[in-house]
Amino acid sequence: MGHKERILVVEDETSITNFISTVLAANNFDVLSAQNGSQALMLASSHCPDAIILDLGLPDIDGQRVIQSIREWSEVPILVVSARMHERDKVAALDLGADDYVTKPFSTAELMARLRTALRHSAQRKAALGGSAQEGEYHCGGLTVDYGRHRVFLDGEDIHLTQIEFRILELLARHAGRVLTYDFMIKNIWGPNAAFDKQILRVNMANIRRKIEKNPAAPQYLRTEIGVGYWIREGD
Amino acid sequence: MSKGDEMRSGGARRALKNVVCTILILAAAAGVCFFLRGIDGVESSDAYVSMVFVLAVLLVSRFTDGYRYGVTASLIGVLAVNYVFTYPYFEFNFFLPGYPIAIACMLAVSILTCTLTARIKQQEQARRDADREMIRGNLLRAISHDLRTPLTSILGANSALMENGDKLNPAQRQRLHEEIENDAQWLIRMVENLLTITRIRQDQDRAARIEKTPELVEEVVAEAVAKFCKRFPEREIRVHVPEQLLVCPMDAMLIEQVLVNLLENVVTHGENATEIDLTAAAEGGERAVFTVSDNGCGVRPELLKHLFEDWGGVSASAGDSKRNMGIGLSVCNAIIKAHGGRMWAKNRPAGGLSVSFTLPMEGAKYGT
Repeated sequence: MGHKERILVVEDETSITNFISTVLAANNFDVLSAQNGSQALMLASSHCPDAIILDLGLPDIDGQRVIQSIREWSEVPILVVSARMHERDKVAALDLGADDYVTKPFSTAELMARLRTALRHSAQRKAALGGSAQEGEYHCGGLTVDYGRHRVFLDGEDIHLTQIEFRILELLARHAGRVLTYDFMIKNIWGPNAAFDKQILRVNMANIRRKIEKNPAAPQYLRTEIGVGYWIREGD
Repeated sequence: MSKGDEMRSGGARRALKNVVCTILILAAAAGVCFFLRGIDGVESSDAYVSMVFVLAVLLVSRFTDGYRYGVTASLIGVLAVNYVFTYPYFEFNFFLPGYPIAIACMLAVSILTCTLTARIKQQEQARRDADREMIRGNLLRAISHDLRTPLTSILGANSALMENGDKLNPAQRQRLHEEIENDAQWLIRMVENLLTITRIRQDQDRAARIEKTPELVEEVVAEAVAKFCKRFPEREIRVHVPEQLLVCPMDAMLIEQVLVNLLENVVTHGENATEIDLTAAAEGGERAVFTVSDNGCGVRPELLKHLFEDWGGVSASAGDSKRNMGIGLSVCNAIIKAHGGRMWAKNRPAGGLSVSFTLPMEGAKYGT
């Protein structure tokens, strides 16, 4: 048996920590747990976990602040678990550097899937630092995005996208499985000083959907997270 | 942006409205007096000027909030009558024989009028508050009633597993686990509905208020369908949205909840329903129409018009059999009303129920 990945669970409710720890242990992860924010920061720096599952509602420090402090020195994947429902909180957590979020109540299957995605992304990021990130392809079902040649194929057919549309699709595909906030996408596509709202992004998304989805109202690839942003299904 | 700013600007707007109202009414009263004096001549004006101003003060206190504006108006009225409309004209003279008494009377009448109208307003307010309390009480009763059933079944199934787990065969154990899961899921949906209610705030005028942003209809529809399919993967839905981009100002989370509720109602209440259709279309460029229809059993005609009744009505008739239906649909109706839309249901001629709602659309298209 190889190296066990170590997960830090930050949650003040013991019953929730218990079931998450049980599931993680059963899935062959090493589990660390913290009851509050300061303990979490300490464990994160001393044990260097491979991923952190973080509840935003902590007794001592606000969860958003915990994300901020960890992001100052580490790229460890952070999976936010929260009972806070409002889109504002999700956007804030993602923009601060959280990798993904799960809203309470959630199923263990969902939690594990999100955790594995976050871990895989972090591994890919590390690998990409070494090699060139310009080349490569994204495959999902019948959809292929060729980063190097700037081409998109749907069921083998060449799909014509405008330059902006391709850059949006490439951005999503490179972060496949992860929700990208409107703000993040606009800054990435139109530059940090882009001074317009999300409507132009939406029109572009609607156009892409019409080009690559059979039914834009039942999309296979491109998904919306209402009030938060967009994501594309994880590649095969 | 913050709540405090919003409240302050709301307060400022109301104060402005009150001031404008006061000035307009007083100006109208003065105008009427000048007009009448122009016809009758200066001498006979004493007969009606005071009366006109008392009426003006009464109107002011009726149409503004609180005592302040009414009392101010009565003082201004008294001074204006003295200065403009009594001899010596355009000069203050508080020493005319009998005049101080006239002034005192007018002031007293004005203040009493203010007090009375203010009290009537307070009583109206109290009655509305009581109504709201009643609705809230009914809602809470309906919810706690609805929550008890799944909680009982979760507790029961769990204790059966804990106490007699080893005597049960795997199939029985599995069934109990599934029951716990189903009831927990049902509780989650209930709580989500309750959470959506908290998103509809009520402002000072007791009108429902929501935060609306322009949203693409197809995105909201797609997300609602995805959410539904996650819960009921075995059900298929035919979805149809127009090729053109439909944009409606809305609280997208709330509309998503409405669509999910309507779709789930098909599963939980539409007996024998095999097909579910969800369509969104523009109607005359002013509103979008959303329709969820099925080919199930439909709803008895006599129940049709009570489907969206307020919680108050539903709680009285809700039996165990139709749990969630009442709260789900009345939440939907409240959400659509708060958006300025309309919701209705009808039985389809071919069998099955179709529930539709409208949302006002934004006039201007964005893009280019």
